[in-house]
Amino acid sequence: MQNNLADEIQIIPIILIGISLLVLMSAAIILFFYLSRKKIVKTELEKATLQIQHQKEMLQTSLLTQEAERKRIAQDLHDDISSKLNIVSLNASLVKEEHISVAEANALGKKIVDITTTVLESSRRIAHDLLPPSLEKFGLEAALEELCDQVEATRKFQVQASFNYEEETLPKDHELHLFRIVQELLNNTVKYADAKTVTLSLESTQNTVHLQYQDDGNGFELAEGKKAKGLGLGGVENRAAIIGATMTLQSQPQNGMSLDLVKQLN
Amino acid sequence: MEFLPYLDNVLVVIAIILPCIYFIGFIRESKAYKIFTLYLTYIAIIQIILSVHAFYKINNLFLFSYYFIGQFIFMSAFYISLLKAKWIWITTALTLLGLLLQYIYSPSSFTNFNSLGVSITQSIIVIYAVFYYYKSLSGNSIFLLVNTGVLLYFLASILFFASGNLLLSLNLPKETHRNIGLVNEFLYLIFMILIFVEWYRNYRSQPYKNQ
Repeated sequence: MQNNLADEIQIIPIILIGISLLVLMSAAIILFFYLSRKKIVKTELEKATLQIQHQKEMLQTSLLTQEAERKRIAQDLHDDISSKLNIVSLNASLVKEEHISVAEANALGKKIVDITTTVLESSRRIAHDLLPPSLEKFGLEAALEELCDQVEATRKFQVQASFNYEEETLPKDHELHLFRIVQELLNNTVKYADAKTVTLSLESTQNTVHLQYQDDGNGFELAEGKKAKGLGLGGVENRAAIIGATMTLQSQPQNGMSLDLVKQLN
Repeated sequence: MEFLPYLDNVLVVIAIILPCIYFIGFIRESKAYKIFTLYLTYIAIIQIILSVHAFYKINNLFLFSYYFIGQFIFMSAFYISLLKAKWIWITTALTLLGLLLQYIYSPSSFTNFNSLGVSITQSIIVIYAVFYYYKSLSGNSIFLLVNTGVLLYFLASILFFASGNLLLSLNLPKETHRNIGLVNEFLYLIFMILIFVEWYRNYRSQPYKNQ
């Protein structure tokens, strides 16, 4: 009887200890989840801050690109249009003068016509640079072919182009972004690369649009290239992000550069 | 420590107040909120009947089966609406089937203290609560305080309920029974407080907050 009582008395502390251990266990689980949640929220916050920072940088780059473009257009208008129109105006006021001979008037008239032709040509070129009409009229492939022909005409390097792009696979605005990307890359190669050959290919399949660009020029350190605003790689990156494409850029000094851009459809 | 003898009365009062305040937002709130309010109402009714039985010193052990089975059904429905997972349906159905089989083969366990049944159902609710915690890691979640209370009370009281038959069979003095019961009541009080804080912080008066 006494043994039984002793057993009974021993059971109580065991149960109480067990309950205490379970309380501790649940407290540990709660604490674990609470701390994990806090950590996850913190990480997500950091991620969101980074994303905002990246978006800010993108916005800044696009504003800088816009400003550079405006500056270039202003320069073109000033150099190719305004200055020449000034000469036209000067010559036209000379024609009005009374003591001028017929031969002189004819010569001035011819000069005015010549300059006006040049101005017209310049304004057409500026408009063409802003938005190539071939892109609108004949599509991306034709516009890229035209661009390659123009670049090749400078005889700085050879362009090996291959296109297999189903028109209107991408929306019009995305096609314009792709065109601008190629334009920017060719521009860089002309300005800085001193390349002999450029390989360009654009292919569309049912699920992807794939753009490859490669030159065998001077190349550059990737980190420096991205920082250098003159290269316009920020703009290229922005355009790729806008159309939702994945971009891989590779380059090394003296080893040329290559860019691989894949846009997943659907 | 003066209030300790009255703790069970305090718990009954709180158990009645909680569904009343939860009913304030019953119509406009989510499905989970509605189920939880019904659970609180069910518990309050059981508590009242228990108290009446205790007052007239009638054996109230048969009510215990209603208590834990009802609790299991309501809590499972609550976590089904929170977790939206098919496996909870299956687990709940299988457990209820198991309980049904137990009562068919041993009908006396319905009127006695069913330690096995209560331990299993409480453990399953704890598992649901842990899964809900895991789900809540990846975003904003409602009823986190209630979930904390469920985890704390249901896990800690498993041993108390599991040892129920043992305690009843031992020839312990009434005072010892009372003291062990107090531990459970204290844990239950924390659970109730967390339920109240949940309501106070998130559902008190907010036509906009949960939209």
